[in-house]
Amino acid sequence: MNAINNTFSFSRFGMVLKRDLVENRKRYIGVFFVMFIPFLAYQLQDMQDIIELSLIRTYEQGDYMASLATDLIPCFYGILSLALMCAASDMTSVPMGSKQHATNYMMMPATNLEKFLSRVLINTVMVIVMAYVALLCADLVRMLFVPFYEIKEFYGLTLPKVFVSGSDPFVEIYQGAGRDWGTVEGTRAVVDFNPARGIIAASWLGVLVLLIHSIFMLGGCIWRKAASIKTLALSVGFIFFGLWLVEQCNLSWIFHDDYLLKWYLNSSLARVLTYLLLIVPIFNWWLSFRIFSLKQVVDRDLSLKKLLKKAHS
Amino acid sequence: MLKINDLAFSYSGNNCKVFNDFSLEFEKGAVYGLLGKNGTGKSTLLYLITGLLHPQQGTVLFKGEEVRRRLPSTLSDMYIVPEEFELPSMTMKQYVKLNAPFYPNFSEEQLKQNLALFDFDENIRLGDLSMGQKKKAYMCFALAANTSLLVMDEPTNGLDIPSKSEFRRLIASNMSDEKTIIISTHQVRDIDSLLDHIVIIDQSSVLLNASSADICRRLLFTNQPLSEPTDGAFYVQPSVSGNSAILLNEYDEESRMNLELLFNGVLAEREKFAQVFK
Repeated sequence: MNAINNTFSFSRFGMVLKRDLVENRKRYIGVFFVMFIPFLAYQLQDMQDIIELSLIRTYEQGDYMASLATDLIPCFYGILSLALMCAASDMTSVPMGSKQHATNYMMMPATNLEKFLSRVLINTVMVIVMAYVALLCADLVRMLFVPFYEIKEFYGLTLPKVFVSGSDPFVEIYQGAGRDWGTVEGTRAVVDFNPARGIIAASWLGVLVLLIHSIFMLGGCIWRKAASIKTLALSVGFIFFGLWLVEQCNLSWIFHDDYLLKWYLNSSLARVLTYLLLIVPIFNWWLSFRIFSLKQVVDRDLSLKKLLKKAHS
Repeated sequence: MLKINDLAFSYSGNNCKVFNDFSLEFEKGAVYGLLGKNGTGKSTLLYLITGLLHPQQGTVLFKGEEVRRRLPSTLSDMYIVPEEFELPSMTMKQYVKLNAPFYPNFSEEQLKQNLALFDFDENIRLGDLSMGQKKKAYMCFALAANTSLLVMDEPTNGLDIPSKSEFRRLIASNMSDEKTIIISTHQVRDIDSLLDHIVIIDQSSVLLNASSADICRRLLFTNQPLSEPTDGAFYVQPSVSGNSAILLNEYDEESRMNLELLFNGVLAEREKFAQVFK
């Protein structure tokens, strides 16, 4: 008994992951189809729209694929990936969804860290990979419909174009925030570029992504069912409450004329603040792990205050 | 092997404590019968023993380690068969492949023998089985895991009549001096011959904690005709054939323990039984 590693074992982590994937395979296949069907529908609809609007004449060979990829990029590569991760937080407590499942999962001889990391890996990396695979499959299925349209430009896969033509949201933010605009010969133009400001803005986006992920991960650990919806509702509620509070305190001027953004991007304090903000997602992840570790087979106690108290104890 | 010290536990939203200042010890090499009325906290105690619930106060130590920490070394040496459970939709062979590596003492040979006792083999599809069959298959796996502690909650619920005797054989054939089995049940007649030790609880009180041998040494279980006087009896319960009675075993007579009678007697005459087993 003493020979068993009670900290972290990679082989046992692999076993936990394997068991999770095999036992919940039906659910994961369901998630895959939830992503695959809209992708396919979107691609078929897009082809149809282009034919109806006679847009195909404006494309040269292969350009259609690039346009389709570009259309997909803003939603897929950026927002959709994050949205998927947030929605997947719903699955954090899947193995503990019922008393019976919770008994099975909690009694599995592995450390809480191994179990938690396997859930995180599934909810982030696996869901994103599944989304790309779903897009690829939708693309391949779409190819089966191409002969009906008799338009050679529709041949070709979209997915490679996503990576080739795709614009990185971090680069976009970096370039956008770094630019200094002015008037040159009567027209508005970029007159200078401030890389430090661009880096701050891009870092801030990174922190925001991590923060959103960590909040949804926390929600997934607190609630066993419909966690993403509850987290989203609570987050939206907090945002509205914050806005209302700002309004009540007559501080709404900070939103006007990009005042806050300008101050933030130009202040040396901003850099410190960005790194300090990193503490929040790290705290959320730690708290998620603590709550996950402290879960009991009968969780009648879902008071956030008590959970926080337990997590700190 | 298992020590419960000054345990306090209550469910949230319920001011009434299920356990308060509750202590109990389980030794290795015995089959324990955990008995109690409905709502006395038997299942809760099993969950506390396995670390599935956390006490508000006190500790539950398994081989010196706190079970609430749910360490792999502890979890790989204990197994729980709850009253209700779910099994994934796969064959027993696949289930073993996924789960057996977690249990260092797991014996595939033992599993095959256990399954054969219920006319199963490793190719059974767990998802297609009835609840009773699932329970049998799960118990086969649990016993083959060869953990030091096996906890079973109402194991005979849902089993048909032949399966109940097969269950007794299963437990007997898998028992060893290194194992402890705790069985919580209301179906005392299904398991009375199996038990080495009886624990009767009522809320935070342990009304009886004695080995079957000790009980039979101190008490005499008899069936008397209605006409026979029962003045000296510790506890009397009318039955179809007369009176079932528990008497003090003053002359070292041998009798077969009537667990149902003992349970009812202990609940009805707490003080008297407490005096005998003091």
